[in-house]
Amino acid sequence: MKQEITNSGLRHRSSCAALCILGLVFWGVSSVRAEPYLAIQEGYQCSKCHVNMTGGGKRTDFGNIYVQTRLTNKVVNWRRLLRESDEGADDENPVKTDSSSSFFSGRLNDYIAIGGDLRMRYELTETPNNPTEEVFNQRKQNIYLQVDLIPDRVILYQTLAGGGDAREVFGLLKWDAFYVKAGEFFLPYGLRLLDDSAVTRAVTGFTYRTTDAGVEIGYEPDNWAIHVAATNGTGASLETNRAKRVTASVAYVRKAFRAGGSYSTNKDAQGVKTIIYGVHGGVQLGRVGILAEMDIIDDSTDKEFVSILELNLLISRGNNLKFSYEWHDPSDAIAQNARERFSLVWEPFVNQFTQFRIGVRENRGIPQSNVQNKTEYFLELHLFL
Amino acid sequence: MEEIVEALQAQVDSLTNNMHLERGRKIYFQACMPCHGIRGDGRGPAAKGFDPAPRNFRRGVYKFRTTISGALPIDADLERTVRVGVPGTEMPRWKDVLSQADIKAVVQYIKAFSPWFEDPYALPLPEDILKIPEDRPFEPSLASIAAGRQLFVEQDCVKCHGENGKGDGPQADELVDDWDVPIRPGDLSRPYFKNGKRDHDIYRVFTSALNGTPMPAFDDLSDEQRWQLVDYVQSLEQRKGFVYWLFRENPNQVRHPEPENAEASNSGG
Repeated sequence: MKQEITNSGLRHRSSCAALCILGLVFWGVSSVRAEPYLAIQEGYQCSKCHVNMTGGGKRTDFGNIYVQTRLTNKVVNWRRLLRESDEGADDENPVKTDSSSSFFSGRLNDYIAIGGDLRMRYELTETPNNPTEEVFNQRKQNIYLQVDLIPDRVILYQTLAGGGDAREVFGLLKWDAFYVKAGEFFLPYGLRLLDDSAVTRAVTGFTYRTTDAGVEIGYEPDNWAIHVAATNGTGASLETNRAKRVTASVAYVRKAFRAGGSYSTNKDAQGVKTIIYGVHGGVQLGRVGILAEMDIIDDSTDKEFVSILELNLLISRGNNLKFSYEWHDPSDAIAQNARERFSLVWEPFVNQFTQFRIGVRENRGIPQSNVQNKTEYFLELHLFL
Repeated sequence: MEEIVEALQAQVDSLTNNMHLERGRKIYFQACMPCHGIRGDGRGPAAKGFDPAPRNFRRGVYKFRTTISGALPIDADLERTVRVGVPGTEMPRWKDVLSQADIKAVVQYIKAFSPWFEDPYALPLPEDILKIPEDRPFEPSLASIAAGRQLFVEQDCVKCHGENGKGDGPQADELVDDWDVPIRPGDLSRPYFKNGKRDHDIYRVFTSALNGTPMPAFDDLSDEQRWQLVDYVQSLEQRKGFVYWLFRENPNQVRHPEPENAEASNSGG
């Protein structure tokens, strides 16, 4: 069935779907959130919940409050658990363990805050004509350090990264709606989806595995978020020529709505110029959140197209069901080589520091490629602060 | 001898108060500062874009109280708001993560932002604290709802809250709070209210008013009339089935139903 669909037909269909979603968004339904679907849901800019103004990594003090009080249906108060086994203690006469709050935002004092993320995953992959593969995969093991030299004005930030993530190290200067960031950081492009294997991340190269060294400036007045970065364009390694990578994104954000565009241009050592550009947006209607992104990668020989459409259903507090459809055309010069991926993921927060993700992803590509037609099942444990 | 005892007692009180404040400060810095700000002025680093804006503690003006209109709240009022949160806003429910002792401590710290709480003449007198009856004088009925509807019109509630209580009355767009910031009247058809949706919660608002907003106290109404008005307001809630559940309700933003509010209302006075 898939082979009957031409490449251009698929592209047309996908483009129409993405445009329809963005059109719906502009029609005036309402907002966006910080895993992007959360940011859209609340109408938050990424910087509301993340120290890195463009999202990802350590959460801000508010981000931790949001996670611990709003995202999960079951909040575990460990001091209260201890007290239950301590006869005679009550709120007025707490046991000695109740010397302080059971709430911990990661802030150690006025100047230093820590955070962390651990994602441990069990994956089972069925590839046609190949034996089934099973693997335990520690995808993320990050410890974050934030030093507020001048609180909310001058910040040093560092990630001690493992499990494949790249390390972010930068200094951040903030003043009102402006900021300047300098160091190694993730580039501001599109929806910063959690899943690095999503085509809009993996194919464009804007993943948690790739940082770049340079400077980023940003302006976030009211409902707008504007970010521009100039970097080496070589990942974190040095590049001495004058051709730097420029990446920019702009987004309009309001309650239950987000729409924006991104652009990136880079020239490699051989002088090949690559331009990536696209649009993204999202809308939240009650329990239903919709996200979409479409990008084009133009390296002057041919064009590559990627898009994603994501539907989130908030079954109950902290209990999200995610369905996504991704489409990837590796080259507009070759017909019938498009790939698709369907995902269904259940993402319950079991307490304020723990999330599970249980999902299945089905890939569809050219029939000659077994890898492009694999099915993946996974169970992921996510511990965070 | 008496003077020595009094002096010692004053020192003990002062030390106890300082310990409470220090404990409250630590909690405030972790849990409240991001929105309410280090100076308690509602201008924390995360406050931008919040609607309604985080409360400015320096003013000493609080909406949710069990005291008469215009009076400061008692500690139990502030503790209740911290404990159960304010549904439909960014203010979360803290009872899940903070102990009652912590909540008491942070309330003492919050009060320290406003000089009004240090003025003995500004503190509410015993007679300023409302006596909300435990039991209703009658059960809700069609007759009480109809009588409440009549009061709703007579008392000009429709001017702000609209004919059907959806907050779309003819004056709704012109309302401002005491600081000239535009404010919207509550949508009474929602399944939650900021101050709780138990009968007693609504009765309390009619009796205490919402300080700093155009919402007045209905002192001139009898006890019976206020309960009739409660019954009518309760009848306005619209449950619209599956479509409403799917496309209008967001369980991350509102805890619904809210038995916590009922429990808290009891302890809050």
